[in-house]
Amino acid sequence: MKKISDHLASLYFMTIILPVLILWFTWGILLAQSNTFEHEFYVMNSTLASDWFSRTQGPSLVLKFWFVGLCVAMAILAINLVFCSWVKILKIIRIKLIMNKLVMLIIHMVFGVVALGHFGSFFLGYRYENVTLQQGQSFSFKDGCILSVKDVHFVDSPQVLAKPPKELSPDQYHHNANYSEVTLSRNGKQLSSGKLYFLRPLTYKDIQVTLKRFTPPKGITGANHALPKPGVKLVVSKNPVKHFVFGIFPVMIVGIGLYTIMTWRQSENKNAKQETRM
Amino acid sequence: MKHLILPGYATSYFFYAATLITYLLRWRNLWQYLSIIAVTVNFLVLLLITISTGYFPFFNGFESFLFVTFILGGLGLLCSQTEKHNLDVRSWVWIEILFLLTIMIFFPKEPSLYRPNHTFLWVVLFHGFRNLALATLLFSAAHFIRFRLDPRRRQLGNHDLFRGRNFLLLTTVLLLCSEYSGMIWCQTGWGDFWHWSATFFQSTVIILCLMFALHIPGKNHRSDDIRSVAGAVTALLMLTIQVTKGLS
Repeated sequence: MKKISDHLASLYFMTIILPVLILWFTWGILLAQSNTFEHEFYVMNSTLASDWFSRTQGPSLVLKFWFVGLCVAMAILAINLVFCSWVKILKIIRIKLIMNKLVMLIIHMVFGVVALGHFGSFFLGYRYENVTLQQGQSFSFKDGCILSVKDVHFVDSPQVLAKPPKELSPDQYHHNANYSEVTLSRNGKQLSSGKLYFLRPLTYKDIQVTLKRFTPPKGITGANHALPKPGVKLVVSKNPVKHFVFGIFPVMIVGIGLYTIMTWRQSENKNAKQETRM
Repeated sequence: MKHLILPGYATSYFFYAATLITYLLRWRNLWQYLSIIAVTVNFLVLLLITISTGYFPFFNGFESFLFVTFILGGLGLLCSQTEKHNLDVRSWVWIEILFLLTIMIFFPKEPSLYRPNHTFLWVVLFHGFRNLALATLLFSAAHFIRFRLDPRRRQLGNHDLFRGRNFLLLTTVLLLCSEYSGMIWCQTGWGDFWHWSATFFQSTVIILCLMFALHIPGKNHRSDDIRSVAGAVTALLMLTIQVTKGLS
């Protein structure tokens, strides 16, 4: 039993899993860049992994296999992390408390929690992509919430919305002046309201309403001079682990920074053999 | 003012090339003057881009590589030493800079086009930290290459390897800062901090490669050799990803 746990905690075991994960993600890059799977990745980003995976007419077998393989590889990495951390905890308790080893242990544990937070975000909450609304329209979603667009304030010519964003100059499109006014309500009671700008979403607890882009008014391609207002394309998402991940991630960065400072001189001074692994 | 960017780039290229040649010939005073001029010209071109566009020079391939060469040049001047060995760490830094400047021949020599998010804090931090990470990773690779190519590395101490490891750890910190900024950018722009896309997978591959290079087990010469190769390959991989992105 001890032999198995030593094996699972070993760095050798980890150096096998990491190249497998690197190859798996490289395969993912190739899949994401191929035209065949372009739409499937779009669907994958539009919903949570649980909804996406359980769809009957959903993802292809290749993408399902890739996703399951990724989860399995990550689970094996997590097993290695748990065993490795446990061995290190025992060493610290039984042998000697070395400060940089303790920092490294904390970094590893935080890394595990961050990875778990990422995994949790694939399955918890909800996500509605490309909710296209016009002024005065509403959209109801989970939790009995209703999102209403009260106003679309667009100061530029709506004609620019027909152009690709890359071709727009600062004079043609004023992203700080264009916004949409929305309200979030439940059972007739207003929960929150505010203006949605590009890169300035509206948040209420874990719910976030994001302005993805303005949509061109209908008839923009014709010779219609009295154009109606543009619409908006929104993303409605709820991620209960968002704050947790954003809070814990900097701890990992600070921890590695601290470890780097603590061992910088040590490794430079000791010119002979020394452990360089994390 | 934008018409000065191309001559600025060419001048910078010339002075970095002259630095390498005089450094290899060990013309002690001359290479020092030339390297200071090269880094200064490099900085002036970056300043020119910043003033003419109104935002930091981090966004397209040309300006981001120019930023990387500036940081790398600064590190080569301030954080490395001249050794008796001809191809020491400093000479590898000048070679890397010239390699980057040569790659830049294939990029349009102009500032990035206006995008509304070029002044958004988290977008600036994402690109800025990523470029800094590439510069420190290349500096780390210079140590690994120097170590790996030295036939006497098993008899001598592995000072270069440890310095390489230190800068590899620094790269990890900078890259994670970039990823954190990118997560906030993604959350505010698309309502989620993760996307199933090639860009996110590329970043993950770089982080996994760094993890691999920092987790090579063993305290023997063979492990040190593998460690140095893994560190250098990670730098090459990140550079390839950045070049591919810049050209697409």
